[in-house]
Amino acid sequence: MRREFHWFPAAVTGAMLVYSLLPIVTFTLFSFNPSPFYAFPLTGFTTDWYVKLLADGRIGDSLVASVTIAASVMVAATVIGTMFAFFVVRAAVPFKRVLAGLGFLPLVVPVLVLAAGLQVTFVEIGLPLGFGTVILGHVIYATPFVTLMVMAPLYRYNPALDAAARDLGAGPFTTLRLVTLPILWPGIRSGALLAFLLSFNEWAIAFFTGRGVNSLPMLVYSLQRNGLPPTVLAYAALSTAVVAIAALAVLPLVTRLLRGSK
Amino acid sequence: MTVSPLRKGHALEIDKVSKAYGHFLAVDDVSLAVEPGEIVAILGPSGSGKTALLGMVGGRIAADGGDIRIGGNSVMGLPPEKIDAATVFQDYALFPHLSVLENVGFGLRVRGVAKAEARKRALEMLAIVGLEALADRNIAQLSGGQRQRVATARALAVHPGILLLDEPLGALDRQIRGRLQEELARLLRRLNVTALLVTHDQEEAFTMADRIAVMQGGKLEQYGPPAELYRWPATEFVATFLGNGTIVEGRRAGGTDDLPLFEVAGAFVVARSRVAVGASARLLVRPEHVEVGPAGSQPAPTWRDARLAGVVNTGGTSRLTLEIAGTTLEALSLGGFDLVPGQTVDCTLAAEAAVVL
Repeated sequence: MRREFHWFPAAVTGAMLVYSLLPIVTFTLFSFNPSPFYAFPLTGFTTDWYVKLLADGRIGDSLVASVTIAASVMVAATVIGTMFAFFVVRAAVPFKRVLAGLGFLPLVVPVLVLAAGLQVTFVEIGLPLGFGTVILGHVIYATPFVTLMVMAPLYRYNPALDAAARDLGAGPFTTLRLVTLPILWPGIRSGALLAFLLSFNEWAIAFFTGRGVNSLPMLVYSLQRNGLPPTVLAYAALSTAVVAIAALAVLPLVTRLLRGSK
Repeated sequence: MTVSPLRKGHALEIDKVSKAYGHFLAVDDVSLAVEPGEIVAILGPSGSGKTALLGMVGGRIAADGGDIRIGGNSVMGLPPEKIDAATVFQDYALFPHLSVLENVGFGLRVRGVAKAEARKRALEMLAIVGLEALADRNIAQLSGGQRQRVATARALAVHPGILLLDEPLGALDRQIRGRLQEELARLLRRLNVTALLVTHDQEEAFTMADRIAVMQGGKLEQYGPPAELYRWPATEFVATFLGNGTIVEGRRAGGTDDLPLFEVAGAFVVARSRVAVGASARLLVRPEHVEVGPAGSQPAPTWRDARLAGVVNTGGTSRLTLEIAGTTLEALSLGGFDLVPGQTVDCTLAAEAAVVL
């Protein structure tokens, strides 16, 4: 069948692209501009701000901190989020919708509110604020996203496949390992990547619950307290590039999940 | 191609098995014995409990009562992976993330057979179903008939004591279904497999099975060889579910125990029955047992002056509707092109063609 060109969706997509790319293009341009003042016309081309940013010893420490946190969050949120997806799709318990709704609350509560609430809670129960509490907070924040990503393939999953595996001699655990999880893997992988990115970019929860935690967003926050130095723009451009590359890796998977191919 | 038989299949005994879902009795006190190497079809409409019965044999559904034995060993309470049975699932349930060969070898691998050996045996099984050339294909690349054969090979690869088949050909087109029915039955017989087959398709049951168990409303209506069920149905449900026919009212008029005579629409017919003289009965008349010809063409017709109410030509045969003294009968005629609706005809009922219910 011939695909028809529809001008309206094309126009909306175009507008969206311009709208979302404009700030990225702007700060990327200024990050290569020698002048510390953000005004057109540009005064030249320099990589000084990048050199200065990378020469700052703090960015290396922050990168290590951010990756450590994001990797821990990815593992924990993927495991918990996948199990929660199984609960939402498969469990037959009373008040399942209510329980599932509570689990998805972090999706709708503003992150700032979640962060403040977490701080109060952690202090109240006597948890020392630090790396542990940031990871805990990020897990709560990222888990429902993983669940959403896993729920899509799980709803489409044919339970007869599990029955077939059991019938052929596989125990429940072997069935999970050799059949269920491999088939759900595209969803789980997308969820894991999403959890990593959400944690890696997250500022509010780190700010409220991570005393002395110098993750990258926290570093940026501290750098821009007295105005916005171009080094921050350099950081923004760099991290956007990294995240964009990671997202491009995830996007085909998400598309495939939503289309339901496989 | 030569095929060596697998180890001979086990006997299956289903003994007074029941299953209720809430107040709904899905399976109601069913007993059924399958001999080693026998192919038995459970035939019934949807909701008759046939699939639940198969699920209980495979260990997927827990029976409420009774006993199920495979090769003399009770499987009650065992999880599916501990039961010496393998299933060809409805819509096949092939693993989409594995190749054809990996699907067939799956049961062997999870039972601890080494990789090389499992591969060898899976290839052998694929050769038996004629699909060795497709070993490395994805499941998505296969046609419906090929998937069916992969599912059969996957179940047979573990050499199950009994093979369970849940509507094995139901998802296929009508044209290839008939061919695959014969092919599958021949394969199971050559391999000496005991098979329990669930189907709602009468033709499938008749083509493939040594014996047929007809179920309705959770109950076993009748169990026997196909010809016996067709000729001597024990209940009105079996009579009407299998094949075509007309149920007519009759009255025992006399005769002997060996040759009971019934009066039907003003004529005497022979039917196998033990009802007393004078008692009324319901008789089944199969259309192919009613011979129809123009008036005066038959020397001793059962009914004269039957009115031909309808003729539907379906190619090689014609379906005739007859009206005889207020009774409507169906008949099947080879040819029948010279018959026209409204004409008067002679009808002869082949001896013992009527059956009392």
